[in-house]
Amino acid sequence: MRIARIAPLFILLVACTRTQPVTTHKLTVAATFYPLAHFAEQVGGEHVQVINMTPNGIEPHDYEPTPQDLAELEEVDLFLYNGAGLDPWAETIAPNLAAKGITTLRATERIDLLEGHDEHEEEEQHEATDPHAWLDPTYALYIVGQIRDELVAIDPENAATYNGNAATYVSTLQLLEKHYREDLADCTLREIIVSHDAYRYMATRYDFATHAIAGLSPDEEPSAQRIAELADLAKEKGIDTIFFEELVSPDLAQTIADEVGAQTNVLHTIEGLTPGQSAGATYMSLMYENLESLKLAMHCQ
Amino acid sequence: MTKQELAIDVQHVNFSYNSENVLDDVTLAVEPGAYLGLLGPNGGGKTTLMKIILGLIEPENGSIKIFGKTPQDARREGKIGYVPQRIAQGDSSFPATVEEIVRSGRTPIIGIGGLFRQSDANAVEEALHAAGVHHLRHRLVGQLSGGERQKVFIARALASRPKILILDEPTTGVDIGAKEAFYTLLKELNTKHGITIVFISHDLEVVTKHATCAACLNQKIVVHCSEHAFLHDPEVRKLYGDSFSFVHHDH
Amino acid sequence: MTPKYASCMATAFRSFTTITDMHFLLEPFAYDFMLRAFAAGILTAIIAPMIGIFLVTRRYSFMADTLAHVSLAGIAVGTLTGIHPIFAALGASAIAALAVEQLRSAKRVLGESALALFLSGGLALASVLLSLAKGNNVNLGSLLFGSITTVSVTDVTYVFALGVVVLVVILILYRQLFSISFDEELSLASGLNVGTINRILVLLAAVTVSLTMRIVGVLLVGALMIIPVVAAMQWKLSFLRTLLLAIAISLFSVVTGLLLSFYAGTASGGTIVLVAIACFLVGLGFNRR
Repeated sequence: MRIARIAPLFILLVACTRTQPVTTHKLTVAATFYPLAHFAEQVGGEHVQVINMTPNGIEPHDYEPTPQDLAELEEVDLFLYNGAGLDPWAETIAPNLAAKGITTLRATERIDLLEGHDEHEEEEQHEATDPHAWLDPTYALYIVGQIRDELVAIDPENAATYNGNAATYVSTLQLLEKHYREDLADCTLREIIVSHDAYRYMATRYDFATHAIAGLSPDEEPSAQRIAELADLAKEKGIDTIFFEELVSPDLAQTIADEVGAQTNVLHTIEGLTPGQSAGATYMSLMYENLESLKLAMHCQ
Repeated sequence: MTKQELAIDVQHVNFSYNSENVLDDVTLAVEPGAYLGLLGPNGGGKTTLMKIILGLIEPENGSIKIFGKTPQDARREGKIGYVPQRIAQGDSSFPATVEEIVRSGRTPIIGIGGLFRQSDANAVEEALHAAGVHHLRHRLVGQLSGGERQKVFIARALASRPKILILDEPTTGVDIGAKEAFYTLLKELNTKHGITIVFISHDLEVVTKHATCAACLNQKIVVHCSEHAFLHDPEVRKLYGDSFSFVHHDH
Repeated sequence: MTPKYASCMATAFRSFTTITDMHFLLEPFAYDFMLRAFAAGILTAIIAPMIGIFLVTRRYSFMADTLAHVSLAGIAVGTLTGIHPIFAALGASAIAALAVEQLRSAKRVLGESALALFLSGGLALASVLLSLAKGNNVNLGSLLFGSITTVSVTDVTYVFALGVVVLVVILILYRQLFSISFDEELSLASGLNVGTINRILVLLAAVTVSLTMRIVGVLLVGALMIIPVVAAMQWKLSFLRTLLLAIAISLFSVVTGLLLSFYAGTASGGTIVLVAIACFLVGLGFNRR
């Protein structure tokens, strides 16, 4: 008799505990580097657990995954990578993961990629493409949209949240884009010298030229003649800021700066956050910092 | 008449290595101008005795004086010249002229940071002449024959104007003709320049033929300045047995 | 080479070249950074064979490479701890130099094996430490192969100071070093303090490695110290003339190598060493007897 009364209660209890895992289940998203991880967090919110594969302070161009990393990847729900040569290791394993039923997304899928180029016309055309699309706010928008689409596809139950989060973040990106467009419109100097060739999407969109000390990858050693060329260029055009980056040695930028009496300043590639960056630095805050640095270097109104 | 100072005065010297007795109560008195040949088996202590005379190691007991001074002092003054053994097999590609090698004989005397003076140049000239290699002075030492190279090493030893010349197995790897010329040179240095000669050899014939006195060292030492006495010494006979032939010659 | 002085020289060169239209040939000298590279390179070129000749004649040629690899480990430590690379390299290679010398004199048999141990040990340690230091702005390429584009004023100052020290010590100890290199046993017998002088020589080698590293890179330090000497030895001259010729060959290699690497965009270290090897081949060819 007593058992009969307890039983329904008991069943109810079990049923309730059964539903709990469903409501607190998080998707695991692995991203190959910071911007993708950050966008995924913005869109996914509390429904996702995001892993950034490249540790802080390491250049994504250089990163090589450990066996542990690869094992971890087999357990994720979504794998985000950039493609276009930034994370070649990811491009290799993505098909394997897809075959195992994991959703993969190449961020540069629908972006019109620029080809790598050399300022010396005599050199051969590079096969390489320029992967630095995330530094253009418009392309960042595309990427965020794609991430939203994938999350909705994997987890339709939370589609509303994803759409909402994405919309919010997209509007901040649109504001960023507006500032870039307006603030870089009226500048006396429309050329900058940077450490590696990461800014051409930004430059193409907002109509200025970048001259890179190294090539598409910061590991490429520039020749002494290149340094001499850039020094001459800086003197000729009156460039008084030479940009360097956090994850790469600033020696080369310093050499040119010393040669022409310019100052050096940092331009973030936002490929990763460094331990040195203040807590709370995000893609957005770093893009705004870049804007200020660009305005200063290009003498904008 | 005052007693003339001994060139080498070794008194009751003992030395052991890893509790093995290498030198056992060795006494050796070498007068200035002597020409001594030192014989003995390998492991008998010849090298150890040389090192003590050169001041490189200290005897456990007994005393050693070179012209009344400690070996180290005598060496600092360049009184002892040393010609090492393995010359014929020496490195033939070392880039140095005969003159440079002989000049380096002045290095211990010039010391650190000193300048090469006229007195040094004179000593080098004399040494080159005395050893008979003056005509080879600009030749590379690696291009010389074994015998010529040997003379260069003697010149180097002579550059410090030594009163004593110690030679360790000097004619190893030198051909017969050069050997004779070599010992003639030593004799000349001894009689004409008054240099005390001590040479180590394993060759009984060479010692008895060229030296005036002979010593045989096998932990204990026996010294004779008469060939007859030397050859008939029981210790010498024990070592060299009956397998040598007596070569009679004039002294 | 103060910045002002360098700029002054650079401006002078620029005016001179435009006037005389020798622009192309003298182009590198119009840049401060190239002048610094040449300054460091020339000082290095003079010092390297002075130590090298004593290493080669004593069959110690691998000492230079060993010290260079250990220096790399030192630099890795320096990057992690913030010590200037030249001094980090110096510290590490000085310790290794003394250790190797100690092993060598204690048990002659282990001479080469001791070097092999430090050679690979140094590189192994360096690779592990550098993988830890990856985020710390380490430019591996310029460490390994030399860099003419990033020689700073501080670098030139250190190279000059250390170079003077090495030069002075060698001049003072020249006679003793010669004697010991020719015949160590004989030198010992004539009362030279062989042990101390040997230790001084390997320490000087360590110093020379650390200042040669900048221009030529760690992997080729040994080559610059050894090859000009070997090339000079082909001419079968006296020791002193061999040394002077080695210095001349070294200077020629460095200056030509730096000019070539400027125009051709090649790695400075490799270019310099290839020129030195060419000199060796010329010497070999001329002296076939």
